[in-house]
Amino acid sequence: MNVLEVKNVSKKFKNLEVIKDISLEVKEGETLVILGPSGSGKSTLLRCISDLEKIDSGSIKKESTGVVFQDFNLFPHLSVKQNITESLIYVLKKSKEDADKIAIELLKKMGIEDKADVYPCSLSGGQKQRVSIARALATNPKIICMDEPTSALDPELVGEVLKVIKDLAKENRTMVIVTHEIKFAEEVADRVIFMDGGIIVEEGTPEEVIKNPKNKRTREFLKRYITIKENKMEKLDINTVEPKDVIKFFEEISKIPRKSGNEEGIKNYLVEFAKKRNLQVYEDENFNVIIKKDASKGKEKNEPIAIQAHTDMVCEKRTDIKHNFEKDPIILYKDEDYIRANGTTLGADNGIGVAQILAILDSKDLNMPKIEAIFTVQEETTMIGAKEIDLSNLESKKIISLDGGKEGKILVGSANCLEWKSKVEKEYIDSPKNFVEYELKYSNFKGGHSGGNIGDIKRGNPIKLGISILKELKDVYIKEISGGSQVNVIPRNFTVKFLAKPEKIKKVKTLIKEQKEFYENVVIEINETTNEGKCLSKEVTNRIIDFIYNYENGALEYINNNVILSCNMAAINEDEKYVSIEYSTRANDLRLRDKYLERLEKLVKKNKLEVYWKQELKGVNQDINNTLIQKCSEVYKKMYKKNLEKMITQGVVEGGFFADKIENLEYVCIGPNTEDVHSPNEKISINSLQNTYLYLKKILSEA
Amino acid sequence: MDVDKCINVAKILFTGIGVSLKIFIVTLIFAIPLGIIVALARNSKCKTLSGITKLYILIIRGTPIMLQIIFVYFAPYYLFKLTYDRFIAIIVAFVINYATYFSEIFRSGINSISVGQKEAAFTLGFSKTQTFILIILPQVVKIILPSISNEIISLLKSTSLAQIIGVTEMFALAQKQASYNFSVVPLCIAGGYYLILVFFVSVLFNKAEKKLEYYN
Repeated sequence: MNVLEVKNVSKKFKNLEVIKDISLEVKEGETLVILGPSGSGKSTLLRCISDLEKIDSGSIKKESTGVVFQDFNLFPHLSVKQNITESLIYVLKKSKEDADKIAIELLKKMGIEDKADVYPCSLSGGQKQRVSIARALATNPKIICMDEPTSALDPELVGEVLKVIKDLAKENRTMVIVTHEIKFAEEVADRVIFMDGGIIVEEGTPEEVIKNPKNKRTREFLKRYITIKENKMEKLDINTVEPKDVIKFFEEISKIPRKSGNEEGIKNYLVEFAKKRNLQVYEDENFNVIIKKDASKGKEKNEPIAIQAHTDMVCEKRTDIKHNFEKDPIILYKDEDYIRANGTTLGADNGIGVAQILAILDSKDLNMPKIEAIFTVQEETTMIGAKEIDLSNLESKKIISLDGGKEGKILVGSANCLEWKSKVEKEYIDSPKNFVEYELKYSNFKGGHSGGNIGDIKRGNPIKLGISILKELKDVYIKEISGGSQVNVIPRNFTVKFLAKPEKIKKVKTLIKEQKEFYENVVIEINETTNEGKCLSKEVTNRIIDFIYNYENGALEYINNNVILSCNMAAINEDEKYVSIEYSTRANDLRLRDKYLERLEKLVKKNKLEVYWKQELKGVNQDINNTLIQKCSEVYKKMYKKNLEKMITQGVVEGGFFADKIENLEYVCIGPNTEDVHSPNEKISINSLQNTYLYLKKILSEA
Repeated sequence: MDVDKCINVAKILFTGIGVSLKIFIVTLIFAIPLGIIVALARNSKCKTLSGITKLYILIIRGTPIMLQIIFVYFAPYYLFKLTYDRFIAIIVAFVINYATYFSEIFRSGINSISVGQKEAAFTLGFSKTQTFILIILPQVVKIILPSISNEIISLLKSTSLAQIIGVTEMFALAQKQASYNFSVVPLCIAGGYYLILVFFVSVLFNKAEKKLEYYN
């Protein structure tokens, strides 16, 4: 319900039009904040609403209003209490007792009931304003109008007044507030109006108006009070930043939508690009593209070298941004040293790699061996591009991937990932006597990716934890069991129904308590349920428990704080006939892994698990002193007088699939500094791009 | 003049103080409210009303009070052959005269109260009269007290002018005694009486000012 309707209101002072044809509505319980520079007409509008100014035209329909003034306007000759009671007694004709009661109640609410009998002159500014708020509330008006309630206060007193107003907002008082406190406006407002030159320039939620102002005037105003990200942003002028050629191509491909799985457009662009320049080009049905450029003069005898990037990108946007990733181009903005998009992912991952390759293919004056450019698809999702690309006609034995995100670091190894699904055939028996059925439930664990997060022991593995409880109970029968989700994800939940002797349950309760304390914010419950029907046989139960209990989980081996061997007990499910268990292993060191695999195999055999599905995702496991890596280190040292840092990851990268197709592949992955990749804040450092591009060209020219 | 004579003169003059005080008090009773009304009329948005008030203030402040007293008493006689009580005439003349001075003091007081006070009262729902009586006037009194006390003291002394239309007050008696005894002593005694009266009025105002110091 609207308690205030302002329609086409104008107000002139002499010849100056202070308010021009303003309309607005305020609903009951709503807090409307009016922002704007001095002289924007915001206070006049508020004065019109509270009848302190006559309007020249238009209409104002409203319920009763109470006003809180910038400079309090308390009555100095009356005590604090009388300031409040005076209107109750003389206007509302209440008895003195009733009026006093209301006044004391309000003063309590404002936290100054001890000041009831003093005179305003002995109060601090903050206390004065609280009295004036109490006074305005006394007659219980429908709308409270506040005209810059804190701007006459010393900075240290502002807080106490804002707190009182925030409390009123929480009570769903209808308020119209003119203020300069932007942060406060953001917290308290349901809706914000920005006024300038007597008109409403912008209107919306605080998120829209304050965080993401669309109007230039709003931005300029807010800039004085808070730093807005966008205000530093300007459209990128490709002629003003180096490396020009790379950025030119990046801008061009940013116009082509290239969400993972939608790479046909970019494929067409690449093919067109190659044909225009008479370069050899190959494409496949997945829209992978390979372009070859012959060696420059004098370099014909050098070994060819491949450079690679993926053409797809992650598409994320802020909730307030309207952007259609299927067809809208991404506009590049410059934000100091960074290039970013406006509220969407930028696609520098890995568009900037694609752009660097195009710049190299396009350049005529580079002194380089034969270059083979590989463009893959769907790196961010299925990796089908790298998995299925045909590299049989690739002459290079070296691939430089441009998918890195940190200057000064190169990726030289990725995990070999083995994933299994095994099953145990079910065998039911009637529930034994003297056993009680329990349900043990784990939930709210942090989970995470089995590549990136496995080293964090605080994440915990609820399947392992739950099974350890059953192991402790010894004499149990499993009835139902389930937990986890996908094979490459650390499980977040686990539920098991089982039969056990009640006297033993007490013992494990302390164990459960300990688990709860160690893993923060998790939920672990054990409850008695009704014992009905059948349960798994002792033998099957014990096989499941023994396998999971003895399964080595988590990070097993490290080098320099990098996990190099890890295992993940990922999921357990059942269908009518089988209980199925999923688990995986990631390894950067294959010898260590093979030792581990022997142990795993024994465990599988011992518990008679039948492996029915297995997948290997190849990793990059190369000699880290091979010629390509050495060359990279050497060039880096020469250019920057610093040592290049070599990294390995537990994750799976496209290089692993290439290594599987090319024997003795030498592979590195480099790239400029990018931040907040896969998020709408994604940005890339221009300075770092310049560095890594020069570095890449240097490596290629010396190869 | 010997002491006995002096005491006798003092006694005679003392009988005149009653008339002086009567003029003083009755004038105040009428002049102060009239002053407030004139001040409000002068501040009025109605241009005729404020214009007339301005003219009134100009004439009264622009002419000698002695002329005004004589005019008030004799004008009806010369114009309509009407005579009336001299005391009433002197009161009318003083009220008309002092109301203008009071009104200007009130006006300055009212104008020094911030608009915000009126606006606050308005938003709380007070009527104009309530606002004036409950909010504005109490604050005005505190502000104008020093200047109003000046004017009141001046009124007290001006009561001596009543004799020019034949009202026998204290100073008229003093003059008579002075010429009768061929001595300035009666005049000095009259001066002493005025001094004492003014002293009491001053003390009264000081007390009032003290009382209003409870707020700034």
